[in-house]
Amino acid sequence: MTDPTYDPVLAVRLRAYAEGGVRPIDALKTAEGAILNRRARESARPPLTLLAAAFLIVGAAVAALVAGASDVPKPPTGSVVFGYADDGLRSLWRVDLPSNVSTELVRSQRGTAVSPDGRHFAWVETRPDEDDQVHIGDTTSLDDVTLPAAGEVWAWQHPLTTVPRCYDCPNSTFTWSPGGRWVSWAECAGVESCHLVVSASDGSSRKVLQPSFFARDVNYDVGLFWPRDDQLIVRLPGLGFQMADGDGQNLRAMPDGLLPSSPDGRWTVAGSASELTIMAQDNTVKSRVTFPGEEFTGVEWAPDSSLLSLWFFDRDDAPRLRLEHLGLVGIDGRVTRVEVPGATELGPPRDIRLAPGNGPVRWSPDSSRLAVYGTIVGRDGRLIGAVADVGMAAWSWDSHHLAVAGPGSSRVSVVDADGSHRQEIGPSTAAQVDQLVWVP
Amino acid sequence: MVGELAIERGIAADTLSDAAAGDALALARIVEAYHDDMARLCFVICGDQDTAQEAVQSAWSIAWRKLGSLRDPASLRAWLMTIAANEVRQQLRRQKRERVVEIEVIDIGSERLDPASQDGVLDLRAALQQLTPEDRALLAMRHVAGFASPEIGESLGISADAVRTRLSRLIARLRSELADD
Repeated sequence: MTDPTYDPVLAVRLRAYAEGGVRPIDALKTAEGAILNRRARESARPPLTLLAAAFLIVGAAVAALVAGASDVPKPPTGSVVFGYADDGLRSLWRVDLPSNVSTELVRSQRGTAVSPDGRHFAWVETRPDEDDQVHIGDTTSLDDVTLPAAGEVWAWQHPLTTVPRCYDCPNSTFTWSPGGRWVSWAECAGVESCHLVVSASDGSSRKVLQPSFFARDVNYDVGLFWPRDDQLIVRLPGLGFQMADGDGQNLRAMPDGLLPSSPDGRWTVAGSASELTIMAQDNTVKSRVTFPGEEFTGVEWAPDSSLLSLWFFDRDDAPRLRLEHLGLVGIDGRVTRVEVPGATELGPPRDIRLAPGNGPVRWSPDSSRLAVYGTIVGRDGRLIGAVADVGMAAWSWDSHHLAVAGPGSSRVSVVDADGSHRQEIGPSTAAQVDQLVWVP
Repeated sequence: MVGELAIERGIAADTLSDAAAGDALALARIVEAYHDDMARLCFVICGDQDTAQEAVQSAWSIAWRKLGSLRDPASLRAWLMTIAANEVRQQLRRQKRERVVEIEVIDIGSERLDPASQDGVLDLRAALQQLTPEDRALLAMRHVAGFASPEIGESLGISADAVRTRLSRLIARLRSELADD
């Protein structure tokens, strides 16, 4: 019996014609391009687990600093720490508020990363014919601890900015735990003998993670983040994703699809890009949310663990990305869709807003509102205010103010929690600010 | 069978999981096995080598990200071809939106042609261009990729019966048009 859906003569002609689509390719380059392109397009998401964990860092760090906001405007207090590249060196500044007194913390050739809680900063001292040394400074007292490195401390990113060479590798030479208790870097005794090191920031412990890897693997196959100070997620060649205790001990397999636990530890979320399940710690399902035809790119918990924010990018105009909307998901699964007016366009490859750890959402420590780049949104999805030209934002510890920077501006500014009363602080910077933290 | 093809091409489950975890070498092995098939499929749908290659590259990005969700390695080829077919149609829609003028493609792989000659190929190309991208996808998935109607239906989101009906009609139409030439 003849198959009416198949014509063998036509098949021969179509197959011959189809050969016109074939072109010699380099399979490895194509594979690397696929991985890099997807990472760039998705703001360093894949796999979602790892980046989501990174996004959690800021939220988790500030969760401990929760303080009640009031409607009475108060002058900003504490300090804002920010970093940028300056004439071949990296510069890190602290601006004390409300006095606006500025102090340069360090200007170095390598590293220079402030911890997520803003209390410490790390940098690398290179020494001719000797192994590198890592320095951990206190942003307030400027006290310094020197930690030895075996060989060269590897720069994960462009050595002068924190814009990463790839979009799924750590965004600095150093990776910090949210509370600043642990710090990690990669050190290479040779190009074929690199290790990830986890060290206590006071130098009291040092754990070398195995296996070793080639220097060329750093950008693609190696990475780590601390969702919490006591939990490390690490990726090593041959092992894939693993979990470990905060100090790098007890390396073990990580469950698939695991997303960050809520800051209070009560809830765990799991899911794919279109489905999210919120579970209690005993793995009973509390709620499940689906987003038909949509894929969220990242998640971040509100510090009070009552809401989970998801963000969605429009990827049709790749390589540029446009933030399409947000979803605010309650523990009960109720979703509030938030359209962000004047949705931000992001442009790889070197847009700091695409760097890992710099997701679009910053929750205020009191969980009352969130900054989506420069747009300030209430926890109910209501638009509160907007600040122009914002690539990075950091809430004050009391949720009363927001520090903002670039990408078009060379100044850091502070605004009220509704986006009003913009005031420039600190010195003019030589390049876009790529690290910004508010210290209590 | 798709599963057999996957096995024939030596794509082990370990390779899939390594690739999903970001192992570029593992993904390269998969690329090597399936890239050309995807390019052939895309070319029949779009008629342009650059667009086809661009679509396949984009398809690899999508495939890499979703690789972890692929439970059955035996379905790898069908899965990849579906992503490629969807991506090239997406690109065509985008090009239409952006009013990009389609480039005439002269390189049609003449050295591999049937004696029907370049004229025959150009006739086929002209006939294909009269069809919608969806119809070209149907033809390509059946005659180039070798999928059966139920698999095509699953890939394109239509019923197997609808696939059969449309394919029969398309074949009749192409026979007629090519015979006229």
